[in-house]
Amino acid sequence: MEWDSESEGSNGDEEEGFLLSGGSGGPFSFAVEGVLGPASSCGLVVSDALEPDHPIIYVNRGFEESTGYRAEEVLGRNCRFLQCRGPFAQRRHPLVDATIVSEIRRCLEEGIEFLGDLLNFRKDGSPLMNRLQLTPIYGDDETITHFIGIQFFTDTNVELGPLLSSAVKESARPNRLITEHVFRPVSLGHTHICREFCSMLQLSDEVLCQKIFSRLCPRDIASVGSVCKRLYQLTKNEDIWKMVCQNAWGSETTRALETVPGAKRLGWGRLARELTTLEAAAWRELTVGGAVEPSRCNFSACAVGNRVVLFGGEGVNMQPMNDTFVLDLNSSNPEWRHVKVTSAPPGRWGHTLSSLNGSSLVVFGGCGTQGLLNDVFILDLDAQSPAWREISGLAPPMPRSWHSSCTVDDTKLVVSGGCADSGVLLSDTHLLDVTMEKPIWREIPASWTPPSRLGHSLSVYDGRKILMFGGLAKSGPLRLRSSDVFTMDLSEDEPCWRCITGSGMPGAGNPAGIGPPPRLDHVAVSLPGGRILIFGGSVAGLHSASQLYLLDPTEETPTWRVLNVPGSPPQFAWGHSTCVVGGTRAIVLGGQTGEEWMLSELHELSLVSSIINVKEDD
Amino acid sequence: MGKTIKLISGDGEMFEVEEAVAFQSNIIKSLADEDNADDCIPLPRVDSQILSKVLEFCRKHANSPSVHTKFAAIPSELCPKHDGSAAGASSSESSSAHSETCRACYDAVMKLVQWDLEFVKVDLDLIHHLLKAANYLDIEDLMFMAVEGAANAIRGNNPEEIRKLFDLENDFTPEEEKEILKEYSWLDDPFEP
Repeated sequence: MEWDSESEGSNGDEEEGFLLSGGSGGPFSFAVEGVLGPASSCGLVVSDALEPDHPIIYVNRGFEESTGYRAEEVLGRNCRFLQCRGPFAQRRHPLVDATIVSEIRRCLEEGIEFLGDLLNFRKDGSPLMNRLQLTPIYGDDETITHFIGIQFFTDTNVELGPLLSSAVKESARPNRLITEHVFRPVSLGHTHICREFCSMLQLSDEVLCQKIFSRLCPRDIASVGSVCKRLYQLTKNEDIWKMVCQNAWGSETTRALETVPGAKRLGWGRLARELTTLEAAAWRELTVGGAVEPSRCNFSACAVGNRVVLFGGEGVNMQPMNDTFVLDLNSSNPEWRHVKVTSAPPGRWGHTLSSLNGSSLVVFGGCGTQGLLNDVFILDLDAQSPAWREISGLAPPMPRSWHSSCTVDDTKLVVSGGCADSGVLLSDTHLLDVTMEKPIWREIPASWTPPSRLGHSLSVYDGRKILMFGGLAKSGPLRLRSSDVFTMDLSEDEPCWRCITGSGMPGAGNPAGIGPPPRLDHVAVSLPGGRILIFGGSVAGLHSASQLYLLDPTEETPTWRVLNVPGSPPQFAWGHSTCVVGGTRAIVLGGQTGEEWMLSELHELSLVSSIINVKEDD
Repeated sequence: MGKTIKLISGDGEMFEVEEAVAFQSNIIKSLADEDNADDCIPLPRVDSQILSKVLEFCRKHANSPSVHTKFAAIPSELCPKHDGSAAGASSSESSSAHSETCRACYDAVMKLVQWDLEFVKVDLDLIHHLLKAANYLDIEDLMFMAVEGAANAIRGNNPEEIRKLFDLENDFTPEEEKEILKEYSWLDDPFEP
């Protein structure tokens, strides 16, 4: 089929072609008769898509000869009259497959091509099989101006009975006209594919792959892929693996992973594997430009997409700072940049900065010029002019510093423990939905809480569960570094703290395996699938800051595992100055010397194969 | 009954069902909407045994929200605890916020899901027919559950069991099988305690 938009050879011969003017643009013409074959079996119909009910504006000789209707009888009518048996029938004949008719209508509405077989009738009432192809024609401004129907008519010897019998009786006859080879357009989201429907495994491959396999977990996909060659091939589908990852890790995580440069190149299958085995994890050093000035320590770092954001901190004269810096790791030469934000929060250190919904950050608490704080500020880094916005929640928790926080459901801030005025350690847990019209803080009542502490970590796993690890915890009159693990399920009606194993006293009863030495201000990374990775922090004695410990709280018997990772690890890593970018790498600031004001040398723990020099638009 | 629709299966049996039941099928719904629609809608590709199973599913789902494709998106109007005068409930808050806070709706959804899971605990042959019918008639929830039924049949089985289930031959050479085992070995516990 060729649409020759340049030739105008059809001018003089009405039978051979047709000249259409495309709206505001120039005319275009086409001549198809020669390609269609003997005129008597091939119809060509053009309808006007801009007029109501798509009236016919042209039919060719082949149409006239096949159907017995002359052009002047049909111009201006919708083509559906062919579904009525004869010129006097008022309704579509019941043997015409209604689903095909509906599909035609849908294709017309959506402006996409249709291909299928439809029962039609000549003017004399005799049945015709119409293999129909409908194609939209676009005018100059991308709107559809016409539809072209190409019809291959063949005789069919379906038994119809007398012309005026009732619908029920007609349909009760054995249906010989729908043969094995009737094509029914199958819509699968955005793709329209015509396939034969036979046995289960010959269901269109796309249906099998995307729908059924997408429900399986990785282990089941592996079983399916080991069955036979055909199924092995089918399980190699990227869309399936993406669904599998989403089912296993949740849609938040998969969404975040999608923004990681190089993730698409790696493919979801390989991503699933590498994030499970951590076989490609490695440390490397990064040098970046720019500067964070005036220099400071005890700031907070958090990532938004592929940008590291730094807020606040304690200056050289112990003054609390309130400026904001961004490091865009996507750029070819990442450098620290001071961000001009309107209405910055009061300066502070010892606060928490957490990521909310992938483009915003939320600050809570810390120590300011006037003492401890309990305010909440949000920054939308993707806004036109980023501005800090205060969230005034009713009944805020006690002001505090060196507490821990996390965000749940893209909407709720959870805050726990910390150090209050006069150095008292806290053990309470509070929750604030920042997206509500009038946010109200809610303390999570618990009949039992873990010993109060500061410098511990709160990680989210498995949707709405939180895991608390370590910190400097109250133990009688003393404060000891802790390596305890506690979890809480926020989706329960009455959430409560649970010890992973063993007793609740610091230092006693821990998960099985070789656990990390007790510590505070460490790094806790939530891995897809619910595992937590721990490293760094202030550890008593000579322990490597970069030794990695892995725990899966969803296991029957959670057990610590040690992970050895090659590369150039940092000497120091603090929780407040380390952030996780895209769920696949941890960026450690100030890890060379422990002095955080050296911010041009970074360390990166990459959890998946790092693709060198990858930019986001690749 | 309210307004009814007449359906005719491929083997000529007639089923008369309420609109709400039949309109679970987007195909039937759009056919009934047509101006020159017939009194009876012929469904030549679905035989009576399958059609009755399909209609059983549709009957159960007739006045429930679509639980699977939009899980937890329960409009406040359907909740017995809300009298529709939920003033100030913005559209964005209505769906998921509603079912999160409304225990009754959440429980109703859970019950329906349980019923559906039982419904698709049938042999693969029937699931296969339900899949075809759900696709042909464009019934979202039935498609969702039939797929879940097929996935359930596969879950937890080793390759040999899956072969038996689908009557498939193992066409790998021993070397190829070894390669595949290695390829998927990452699913075994990579961390020995």
